[in-house]
Amino acid sequence: MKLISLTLEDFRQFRGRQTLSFAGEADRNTTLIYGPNGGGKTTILNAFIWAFYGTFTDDFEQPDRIVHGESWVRAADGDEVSASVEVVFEQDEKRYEVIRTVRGRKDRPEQHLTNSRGELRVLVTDRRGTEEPKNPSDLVDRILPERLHRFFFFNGERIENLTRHSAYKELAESTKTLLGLDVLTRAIQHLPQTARTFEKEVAKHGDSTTQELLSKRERLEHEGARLREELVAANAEATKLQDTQEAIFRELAEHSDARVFQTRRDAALRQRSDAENRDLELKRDLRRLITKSGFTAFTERIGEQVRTRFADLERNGELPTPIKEPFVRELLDRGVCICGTELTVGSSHRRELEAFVKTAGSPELESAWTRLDGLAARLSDDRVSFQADLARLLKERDEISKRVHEADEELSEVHKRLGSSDDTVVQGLEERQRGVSEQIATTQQRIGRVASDIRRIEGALDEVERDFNKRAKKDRESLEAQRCVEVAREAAAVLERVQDVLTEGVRLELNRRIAAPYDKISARRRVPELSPNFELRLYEEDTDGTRRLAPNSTGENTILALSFVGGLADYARDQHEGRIDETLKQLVEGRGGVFPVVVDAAFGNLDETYRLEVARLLPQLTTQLVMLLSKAQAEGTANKLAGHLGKRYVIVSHVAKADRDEELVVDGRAYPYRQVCDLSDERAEIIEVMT
Amino acid sequence: MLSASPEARALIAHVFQIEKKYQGMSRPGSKLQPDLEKAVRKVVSESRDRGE
Repeated sequence: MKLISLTLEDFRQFRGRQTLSFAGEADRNTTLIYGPNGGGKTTILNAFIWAFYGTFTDDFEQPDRIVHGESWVRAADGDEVSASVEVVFEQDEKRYEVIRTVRGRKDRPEQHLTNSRGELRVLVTDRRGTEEPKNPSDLVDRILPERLHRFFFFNGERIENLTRHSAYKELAESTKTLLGLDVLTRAIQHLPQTARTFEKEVAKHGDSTTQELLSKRERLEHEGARLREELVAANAEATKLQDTQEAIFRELAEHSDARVFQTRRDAALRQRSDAENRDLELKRDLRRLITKSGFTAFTERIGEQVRTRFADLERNGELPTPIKEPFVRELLDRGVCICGTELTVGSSHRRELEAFVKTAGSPELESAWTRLDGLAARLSDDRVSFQADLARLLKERDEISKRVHEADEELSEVHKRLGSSDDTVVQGLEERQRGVSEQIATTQQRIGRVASDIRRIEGALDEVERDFNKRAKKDRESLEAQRCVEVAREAAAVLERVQDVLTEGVRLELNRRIAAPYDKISARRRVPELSPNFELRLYEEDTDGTRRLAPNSTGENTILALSFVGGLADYARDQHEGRIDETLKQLVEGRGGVFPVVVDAAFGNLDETYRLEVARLLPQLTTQLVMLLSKAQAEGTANKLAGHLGKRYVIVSHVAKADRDEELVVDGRAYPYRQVCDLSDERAEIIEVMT
Repeated sequence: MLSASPEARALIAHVFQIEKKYQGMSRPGSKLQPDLEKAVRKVVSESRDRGE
């Protein structure tokens, strides 16, 4: 998607018809729009979102007042009043005109629109001409799915929200949508429904028990679905509570009386979390060790017995055996002994020799003994090594347990100190966090219970499925329908595994791409990472490679979130242009994309060093950038963008409530920035900066 | 290592085509299910005809 222009007509504070054209050359990909606070920058960001989806960002004030205020006031009663936004962009050699218009009839003095989403039209032009698709919303959603817009059209002050616990679901689902993996998700949802249709067919041919099994299966599936919903709700509640707790922690950290204790708490929580993560790894290592070598613990006597017996056989001259069985057989075949005696059938000599076959040494037996002796020796080494590994892992788990205990003691101490603070605000915050903490623990227990119930239901379902397969009637129709059930279920199960593997692959690839922009911006040695459950996290690493969660700060979180956006845009672009793994390409064909980034207040709450670095990096993260900045935000940073600037505009705010006119100087030339006017003439005006 | 029967593999190829056909529709279930059922019957009967 390459943005060409944005036209606003009587939209919010933009009176009349005003157009912005966007820079889009490879080396001049940035459009910079200056505007005073409250002047219309956020409106421009929201104009894109409204045009595409008919919605606004959550923080957009008075979203139902879409038509320019004065245009409404000036209209006579009963007149039609309208506002529109038109976005023109190009994609894959087609030109798209997305036009959303809202219309209302003035029936009262204050603005009132019955449908603030308005009507959407899209015109698509290619070499053959222009077409207007019947379902424009579906078309827009295919080009840039609604759930993805917040990664490409956003407010820099809020982008750090992506690093909150509650964002994991959005990050996971959006990433899958962008990279086309939701084809798999849908198939995994739809195939079991198909299988159920065939099951009903099987049951139609079957006896009453078969039908009963089918009903039981339906009940279990229903119960499973209910539990999964409960699990999703419980997880959402837990993440919300964690966000609340983090917000309280931030408030405490800003309080001078509490800061030192909150810092101690942050450190203790990190220690606890690191220890718990390490403990999970140790448990996994223990399981592997016991599965692989646990049996050696019971082989001490067996090994010894084998070795003793082998030594006895050697000592007694039975190994290696003096006479081998094939040699005796050869004598019998020849019918003459080595001493020259005839071995005629039925003779006593032959019978003696035949009896000897049974006791003569077998080369296979000998080699088996030799191998067994070798294995017994190795078994002993393996047992020693198993015992050493086991001791090491158990010792480390002991140490981990001590670290958790220390952290808990520290947390308890911090809680005591903050809870008894002389400052009632601190006391109140601590009390609240304690309550939230208890709620988190209760919710986690609930999550564990529900997860265990889900496992129980899944076990019961497997059992019913086995019984159902056994009982199904064996006529041709039933067998065919039964096979259809099996194939549909098998395909769903295979796709689930494929989805897991691909999601993990995508996550690892994204991590690589997030790290690159992060390293360019942040001076600190930290590792950004999308965790296995898609939480955006920042780790710090010791020289020995030990990792722990890094302390949070708004600045670091903003950079982390921007790096994620950059990494995602980079991945989506490569996917769209076919620069991804061949297997993945076949599975997720048609997704990815090249997207512009439109960002209001890009520097959020960053300090100057970070602001400069973000300004330097942002144009490199994306193919096209539109930045909306106030005079203060642009200070110092505009120079960093200079090499990438293709277009610049100033939004002039004509307001009644200003003391005096204000100017903005760009390249030595003064432009109106804020102009005092009559109340009836309030508006925002776009003017282009001369080059 | 992922493994699947020949019928499941053939079905997955059909499923991708069907899902892509209905991609972007808000409630594709009612239209998509008959296509999926047809695809399952097809792969199973083709496999039977080949004597697999």
